[in-house]
Amino acid sequence: MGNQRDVNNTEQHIIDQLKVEKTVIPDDVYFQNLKTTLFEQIAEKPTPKLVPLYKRWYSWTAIAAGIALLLTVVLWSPNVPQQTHPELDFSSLRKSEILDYLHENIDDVETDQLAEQLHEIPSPFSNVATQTIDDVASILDSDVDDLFEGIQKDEILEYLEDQDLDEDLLLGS
Amino acid sequence: MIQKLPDEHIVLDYLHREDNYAQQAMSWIVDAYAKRLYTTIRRWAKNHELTNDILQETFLKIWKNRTQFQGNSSLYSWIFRIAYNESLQAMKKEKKHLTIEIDSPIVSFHHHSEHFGKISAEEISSWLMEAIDQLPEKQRLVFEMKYFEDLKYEEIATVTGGSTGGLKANYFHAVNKIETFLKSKLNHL
Repeated sequence: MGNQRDVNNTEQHIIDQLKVEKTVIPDDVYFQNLKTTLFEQIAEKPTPKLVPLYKRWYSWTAIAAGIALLLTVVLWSPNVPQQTHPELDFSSLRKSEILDYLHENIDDVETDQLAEQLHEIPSPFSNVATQTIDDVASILDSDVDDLFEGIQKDEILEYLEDQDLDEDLLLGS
Repeated sequence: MIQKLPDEHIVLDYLHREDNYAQQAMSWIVDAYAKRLYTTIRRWAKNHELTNDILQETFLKIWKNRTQFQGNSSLYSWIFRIAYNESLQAMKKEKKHLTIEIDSPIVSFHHHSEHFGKISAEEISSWLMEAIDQLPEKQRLVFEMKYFEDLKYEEIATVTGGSTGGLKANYFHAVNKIETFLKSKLNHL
């Protein structure tokens, strides 16, 4: 127990009481031989040159043959109904596709136009007018809990350590 | 043998070529990093023979994957990661863990202390490597360069990137984790 107390109470770091032993490295002849052996191996096994796909005629031939076969099957098969041109309307789009489009073109969309569409998108806040602040807070809390479910505090701290945050900020935490 | 590598952009440019310039770049890398890598790998591997095998495999892997390196990290940081992965693979082949069976200790005691009376230099070396092995990659890299190679933070920053403040924080946390590990080992003697 005395030993345990001593170790825990010591103010100096244990690693500071250790002396790093110098690694004995071989002489220059070893490294010269290593280099010679290495370049012999490199010469024996040259790295395969990267040939761009467009330069491979057989790739293009295979792709063209595949497309031709597919077209033949689609156009000549009696079991496959001929494709008509179905009329496209707004209902054939999914909401996620509409939102993606809006995200990409947000600058072109007027705020009031967006507001008009918002009521059609169900969200935890769609009936916010009828909810109290506590109701909204509980929704937010449950979402945050779900987000961090399964993540240990130590893992979050370790992640933060690797983010090159300001030292004072880290030490303060 | 040259000790200092030309500008990394030039090395990268040469490495990506398909003519003799690529071999020239490889020659620079071997000259500049062979000794440093030997020292690093020797800490992990148990003897010279294994170190030699890993070192050769590391350089061959660098050559084979040279076109994949796009300069997103520093060259040595990329090389270090390859060396580390090759070492782990070699240890798996040997069915031995990286941190045990150290032939020669990597650390010894500055002076006799009653705390360490029962422990040999080989044991504390093995524990130290075990503790380092559990660190996140960046903390491990920073700790090894600072503690074993005695590099300045500014020099480490050229390899790992990031600010010196961030590197100090990495080292600080690495030391604390290692201390906790070593104290736990000592308390269970």
